[in-house]
Amino acid sequence: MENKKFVESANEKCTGCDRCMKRCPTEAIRIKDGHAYILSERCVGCGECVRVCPNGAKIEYYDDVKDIGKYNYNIALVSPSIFGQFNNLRDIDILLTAIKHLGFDEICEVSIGAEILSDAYSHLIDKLKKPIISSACPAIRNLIMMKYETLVDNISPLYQPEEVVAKLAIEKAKKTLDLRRGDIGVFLITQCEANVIEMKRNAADIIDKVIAFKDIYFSLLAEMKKIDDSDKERLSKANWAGIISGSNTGEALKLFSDNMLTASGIENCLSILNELERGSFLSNVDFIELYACTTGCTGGAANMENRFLARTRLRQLKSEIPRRKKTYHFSSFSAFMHEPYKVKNVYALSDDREEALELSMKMHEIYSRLPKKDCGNCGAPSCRAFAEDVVKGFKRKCDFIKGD
Amino acid sequence: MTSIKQSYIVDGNDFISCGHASEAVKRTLKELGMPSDLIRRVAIAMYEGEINMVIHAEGGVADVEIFSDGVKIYLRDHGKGIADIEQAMQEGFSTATDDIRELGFGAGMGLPNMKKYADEMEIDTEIGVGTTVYLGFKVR
Ligand SMILES: Nc1ncnc2c1ncn2[C@@H]1O[C@H](COP(=O)(O)OP(=O)(O)OP(=O)(O)O)[C@@H](O)[C@H]1O
Ligand SMILES: [Mg+2]
Repeated sequence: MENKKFVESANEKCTGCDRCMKRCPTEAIRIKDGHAYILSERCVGCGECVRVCPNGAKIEYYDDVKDIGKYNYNIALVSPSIFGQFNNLRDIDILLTAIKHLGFDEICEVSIGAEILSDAYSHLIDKLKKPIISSACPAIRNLIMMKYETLVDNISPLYQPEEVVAKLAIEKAKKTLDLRRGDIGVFLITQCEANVIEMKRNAADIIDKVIAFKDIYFSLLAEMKKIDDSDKERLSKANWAGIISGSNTGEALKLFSDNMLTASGIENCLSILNELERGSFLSNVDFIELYACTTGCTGGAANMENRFLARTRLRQLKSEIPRRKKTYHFSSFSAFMHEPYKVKNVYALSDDREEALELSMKMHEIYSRLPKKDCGNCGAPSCRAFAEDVVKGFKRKCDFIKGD
Repeated sequence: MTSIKQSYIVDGNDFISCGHASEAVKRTLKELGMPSDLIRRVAIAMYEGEINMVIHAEGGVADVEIFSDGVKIYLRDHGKGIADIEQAMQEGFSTATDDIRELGFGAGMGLPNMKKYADEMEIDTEIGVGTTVYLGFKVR
């Protein structure tokens, strides 16, 4: 696994309180010597630890905004959740033009990707395993691969919208401008670390840089003020259905409107995945759309505005969006399909199964002596994680057992 | 051969949190780094067995033995027993009540799925005395 860090605690700000550790859905966080540490391999980028930290100690790594403009041809992929981040934004083109002015040659809306995927689902509905779990949120996908092996086959093999538009933008630039791939820089402007993790691990061939919305927010405010009708470009091509995919309102996919289940917030998603794994409520639901962030992408940790307000603002844009002719038509969607997702086991005690067996026996022996309070005082999120850490060779002390 | 032995009580009155035993076994198998195919087969089949103990008997005990190359599971209950095993094994056969069906169970797919996912399966049952279902899994 990669050693690259995606999220980290800044030691000077981290007080070693255990809020983040207790919230992490994959038990990726430990407290040691008064600081929180994140096991990168287990991080799905859900943003829980970032949001819950009272000291703002969590650093999420994004690419540097200084990279914008460094390629011969710079393409920005803009996530629709950021349309809800501004007071009184009536015209998306003003925002898109401002983004372009930051140093881009072309602007592509991720919303278009969502529209194409909606068509793809209509085409493929009979071929996909039900209930289909939407591939839209990479944190959820990674969570399933790590913790819910029986559901991995239900994850839609379709790209997430970001990847769809990235691929199309590259093809178009190559064809119409006679550019080589190396000349083109594809920048995703996004609201969440989960996209960084996903793009770096699995889509580095089509997305070069991932920029946090919060890192360009103030430059955008300044730029937007300067734009008047004369230099505003007509950049937005998306329809409402694509744009509202920036927040989870359940409106995005018409096809499944009657038998779709949508939920957001990591706790809610976990409870639904637990139930799904148990086989409950499968019969009446064909499509499941889960977002790690409450309200969906509007709730991303790298957005600026209150997530609920952002969702309302996004909704308010509806009357401003004209009905537009679709710009793309596909008869096959195989170009937008991943290899089937695979289980990713980040919990093995050893690569050698015999050794893992020995360690597991030891671990259960230790666990049997623990108080099972999951209090977190030892620096591990649960008694089970305590036992796991001890057999892996980390020093831990439990307040409730004498000796050791 | 070294093995891990685990024993779980399956509470016959608890529909809501039923699945604890298979969940715990799944976690152990992950710690061992077992192939995901085996983990999935065990998780699905054992859960079906667990839920059968709750729905059709009054709960029971799940005894699990985990080896580095396989898993043996004994699901023992003291319920009413199965009258006709061959019939019970057929897809779609179920004696579940309407109430149980309302909860989403009773499609008659549990035993057939257990058979499908396990490498070995044996049912030992006696009317009025109880049922033991044995499930054996090998790393493929
Ligand atoms: N432990 C058990 N004790 C008594 N009867 C059982 C037991 N397990 C299964 N049966 C009988 O076998 C039948 C078929 O079981 P099976 O698991 O295939 O279907 P089901 O439990 O009825 O429905 P589903 O598993 O699809 O929810 C049950 O309806 C029941 O009559
Ligand atoms: Mg059953």
